[in-house]
Amino acid sequence: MEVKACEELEARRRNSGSRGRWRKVLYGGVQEGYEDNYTGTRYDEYTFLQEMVENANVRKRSLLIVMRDSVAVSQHACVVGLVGTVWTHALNGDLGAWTLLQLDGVLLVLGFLTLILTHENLRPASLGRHAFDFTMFVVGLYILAPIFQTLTRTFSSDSIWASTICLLLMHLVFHDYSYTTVEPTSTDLDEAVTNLASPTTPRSRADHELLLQRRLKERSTPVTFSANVSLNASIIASVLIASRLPHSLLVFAVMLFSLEFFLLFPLVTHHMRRRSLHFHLAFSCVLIGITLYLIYNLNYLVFTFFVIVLFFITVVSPYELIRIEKFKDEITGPWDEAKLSFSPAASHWETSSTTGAVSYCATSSEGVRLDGE
Amino acid sequence: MTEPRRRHRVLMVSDFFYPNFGGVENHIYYLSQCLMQRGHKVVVATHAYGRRSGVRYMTNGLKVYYIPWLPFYLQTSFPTLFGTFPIIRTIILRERITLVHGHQAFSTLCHEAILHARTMGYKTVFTDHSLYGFADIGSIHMNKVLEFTLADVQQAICVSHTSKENTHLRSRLPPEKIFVIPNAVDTAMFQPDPSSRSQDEIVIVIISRLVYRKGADLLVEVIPEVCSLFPQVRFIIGGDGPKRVRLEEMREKYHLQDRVEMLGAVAHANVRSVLVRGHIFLNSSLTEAFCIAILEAACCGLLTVSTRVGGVPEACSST
Repeated sequence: MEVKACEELEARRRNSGSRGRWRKVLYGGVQEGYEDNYTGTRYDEYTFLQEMVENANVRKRSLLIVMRDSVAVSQHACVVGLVGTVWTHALNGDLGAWTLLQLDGVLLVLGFLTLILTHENLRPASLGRHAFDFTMFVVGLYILAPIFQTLTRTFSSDSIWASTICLLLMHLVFHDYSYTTVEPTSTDLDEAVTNLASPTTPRSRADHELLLQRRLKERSTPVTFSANVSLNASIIASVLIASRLPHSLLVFAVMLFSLEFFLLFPLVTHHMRRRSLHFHLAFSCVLIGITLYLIYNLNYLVFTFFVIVLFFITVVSPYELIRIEKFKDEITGPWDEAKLSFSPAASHWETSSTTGAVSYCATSSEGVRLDGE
Repeated sequence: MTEPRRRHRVLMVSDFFYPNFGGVENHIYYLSQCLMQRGHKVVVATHAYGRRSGVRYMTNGLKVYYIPWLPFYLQTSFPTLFGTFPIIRTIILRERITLVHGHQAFSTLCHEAILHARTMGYKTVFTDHSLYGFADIGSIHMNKVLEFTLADVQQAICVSHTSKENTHLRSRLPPEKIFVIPNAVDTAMFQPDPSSRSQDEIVIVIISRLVYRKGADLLVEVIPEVCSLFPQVRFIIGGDGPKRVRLEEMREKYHLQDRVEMLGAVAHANVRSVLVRGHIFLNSSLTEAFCIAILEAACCGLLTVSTRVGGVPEACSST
């Protein structure tokens, strides 16, 4: 049978004088007169790279919005600068333990007040729980302060400073800036829908909405791996600095100050940003002003450096991002992995995107077999 | 023929060969066997798998070199650029090779062998078996490596037209140099057997690794829907993988234990016996350069249904 089929094909190949139209198929029978490396030369049969789409998902950014969002980065750089200034003053002996403790208390109360004012649905019970947790935390810190103080006595100050600066840089690199800037967008919503597409999903629309909202709420406090690395780096840096201090009360005060800024402050700014953009911008400007003033009093060189960094973050980087955006060349085509973009209801399948289309292509088994032989 | 055809002595190089199992391994083995039947000499070079190191012989005297070179990530050997030069050179000279044929863009051994073969002035061919993206760092790195290696190959082979477009974009190889040669299936191994089919119900067979890329999540959604719509349909799922738990969860949740049969991993030799039990073969891959499973199923006389991804529409054109 095989021999017969081959002879038939051979005969067809010889008989056909004019070559047929080339088709983009693998087992569509014989493509007379076409080589295996045929790419298509005639206008009407040129299918090579026809389905390629360039820059399909690219969104144009606006310079102002990028600059506005970059304020969150500057704000966090200022937080690090501020904490660094307080550390330096404490190490120089300019700052007494009691003064710093009073400052800690004031900042803590201010922070909690801001949180109460800006948080959308803060229940008294959860506030009480937070307060209790925090009290336990402070007590623990007070008990551990003498241990922190003697922790690195055998190391030289230079190594401590070097590793602190490295850790702070690590903190800045890995910090989760999107926590303060980005609001849940439509893509997040899509993602939530995809995540929901599980067999445990209830099929009714109302239940689905409910679950979706719950999922989005969970997303509003995301904890990523890099965010954890960042937080831990900052805490280690605080411990290292605290271990250079002369007495344990000052250690306690400095640790409390650092933790307030590294651990609790992002929460406050997050809710501030969610409540009002203008409030967030105004607060950031005030914070940047305070930091610059404090650093100016400390050291001119550091001040200049800090101003350059801030300028780079808010002006140069956004401008550069917009400038190089026109070189973006994103290629998508049929070779891309299809994305599951369906909602649980099966009726929504036909509406999915071109590359992710879940459509059926069926073939008769006989047809394929004959061509395959 | 008046003049005897030229006999080649081919060196197949890839990190992926038996005892590892997959599409590339199969392809190299069957290609070697077919080339040997046509009178060429074929030698395979791969890296050592566990204690399998040195020279082995397979069916029909196919010689396989298991180079003692440690794999470091997903069975690819550690990239050293020149580390494998001495041994590749020795193999090429000893076997009096005339042509070096590398397989799979992911294989570092293949890249290095092509590089060394070109250095020694031999002709080289490269076969690409998979589709890759352009966006993530891993893909960008691999595409650059591919561009570097393929800059000097004589010809490249892709398994589908979509794969050709992909390879052209990734490696900047001119399209005239890329030949589309679809995978073949051993029809003698996959014969239909209508007697083993069930007469009163429709059986849908799925055989794939149960991973995200093969669309296991899609199956989780589809199977309960189909089962509720058509009471006469049964499913047979062959294959294993991380998503197997989800499928089993789905089966429990919708009480489909008697209608969805899960076989676990199926050895290639037993695939036919599973296939002939069904009427319809379902492929749910999210990406696929060329789905050989569809061919095998069609060969066994099943109707095939698939997602429209990669090279699948070319393999089963609806005309």
